Amino acid sequence: MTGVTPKPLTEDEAEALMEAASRALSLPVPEPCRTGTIANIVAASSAAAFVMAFPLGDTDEPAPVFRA
Amino acid sequence: MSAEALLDGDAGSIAAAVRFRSVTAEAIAAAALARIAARNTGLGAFTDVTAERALAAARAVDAKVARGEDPGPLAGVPYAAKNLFDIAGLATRAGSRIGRDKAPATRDAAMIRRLDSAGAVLVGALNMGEYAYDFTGENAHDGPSRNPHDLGRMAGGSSGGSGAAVGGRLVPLALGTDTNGSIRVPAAFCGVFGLKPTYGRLSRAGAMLFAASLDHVGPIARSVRDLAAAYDAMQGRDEEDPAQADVEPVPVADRLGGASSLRVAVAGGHFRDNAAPGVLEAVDRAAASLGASREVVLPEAARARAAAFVITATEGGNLHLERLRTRPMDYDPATRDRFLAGALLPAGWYLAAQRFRAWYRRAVLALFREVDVILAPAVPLPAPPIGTQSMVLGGATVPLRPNIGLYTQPLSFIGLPVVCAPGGRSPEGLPVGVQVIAAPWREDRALAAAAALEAAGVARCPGLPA
Repeated sequence: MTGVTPKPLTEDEAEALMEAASRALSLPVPEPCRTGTIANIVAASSAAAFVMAFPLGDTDEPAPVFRA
Repeated sequence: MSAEALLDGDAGSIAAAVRFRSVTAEAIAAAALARIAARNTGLGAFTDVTAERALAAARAVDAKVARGEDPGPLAGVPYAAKNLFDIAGLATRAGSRIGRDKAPATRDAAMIRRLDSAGAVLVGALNMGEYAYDFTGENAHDGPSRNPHDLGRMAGGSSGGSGAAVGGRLVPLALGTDTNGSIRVPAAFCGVFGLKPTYGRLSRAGAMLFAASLDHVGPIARSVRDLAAAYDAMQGRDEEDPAQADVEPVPVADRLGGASSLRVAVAGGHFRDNAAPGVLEAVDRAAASLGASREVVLPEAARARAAAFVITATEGGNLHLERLRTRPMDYDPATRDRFLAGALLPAGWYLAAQRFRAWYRRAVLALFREVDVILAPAVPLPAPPIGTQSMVLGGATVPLRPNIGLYTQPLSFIGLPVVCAPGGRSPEGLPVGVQVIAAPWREDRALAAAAALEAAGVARCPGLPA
């Protein structure tokens, strides 16, 4: 464990992610949606950083098909 | 009792009256249709009314009664479904403009087929937040669902029409869906009962998904026995929902007693912070009534909420990828940018959230070795005025939409069964809700505790303004 965890993205970083992922997924982001999309990526990055700050072990498997 | 008067009661009373020929199912259906015609403009609950179908189904119920056959436990009960459930002959709009361009569904959703088999009578489809990505009940295409206790306030979402229709006494029973709180929030705002069963319990086949690993279906009603009757009618294996668990149906309608033996606790920590006046008081009244003996803390509940946020955004965005490519500007502005962002998030964020989910599940399930039922608030505040954009949380002003789910998200995140019960009124006179939470597959315990609260008069649907 390095103790390194992601930090929430800045708006510029979120815009860069949006551009790269938009190309990777062939999903253009219309001009009127850019500001809102960037803001939502920033919000998601904050949530993701919080989640990823939690220490998980190798045996903590993902639950992509969740069974309660 | 007249059909009109019966509509103010619960589904159980209607079914009994139809079964014993005090009233015909056709008269009930006609009264419900007339009431919808008279009141729906104000409430914004229905987007489609299936009058011909309803009257035909009601006559079929009456014919069964006349032949001496069992008309079913929900005989003649009018109900409606959130408009993401397939209804044969209607385009499944799922609150969207895009959906209404689809070809009409050729078959009913599984849960509609089950309710119909139990004798219930479908009267229409209900308004909702677009594609279920919503806690408010607002909708740019169909207008907002309105709160029956104050038409200027939100019904809650995304099953806003379901809450408004049941709370407004248009129908005694409605179908909703819940991904992060979309049954429980409108139930709380509109002062009615809602059941979000265990993830994987009820079939979602024929219902448009939102975030597949979090999506549930369930009933909204005005009594616990109605929730139980509808839930019983909807149980059973359905191979068409790949997420449905291989579990046997566990009927509960005849097992609503026995709450006195339950070990009841109140959720502390995250669930005691940031509530508006009146919200925690409702929980405490329920706790006192059930003899709650302790407080338990769901570990890392705030992080669970964050993980649910990431999973919802990612799964929702991916589901909509093709539509976002081709028709982005036809989305509701309230959902479009969130779906776009969700589609673009890194896989590493999503998988970290799913790994944390497995950890959190183990940690929370450990609590259920000590207790049977946990009580928590349903929403941090009563229904806000329609159009409200922000709220105060912990002294900070934050966006309203994502934060209405403060107390619901950490529970649906791991698929726990929850009954949302109306727990009284806030100081301004609006309904507030209490979540009655049980371990997976123990809907019977959550319903029994809710039934005890109802019997004690602690949980009941508040009367509507004159």
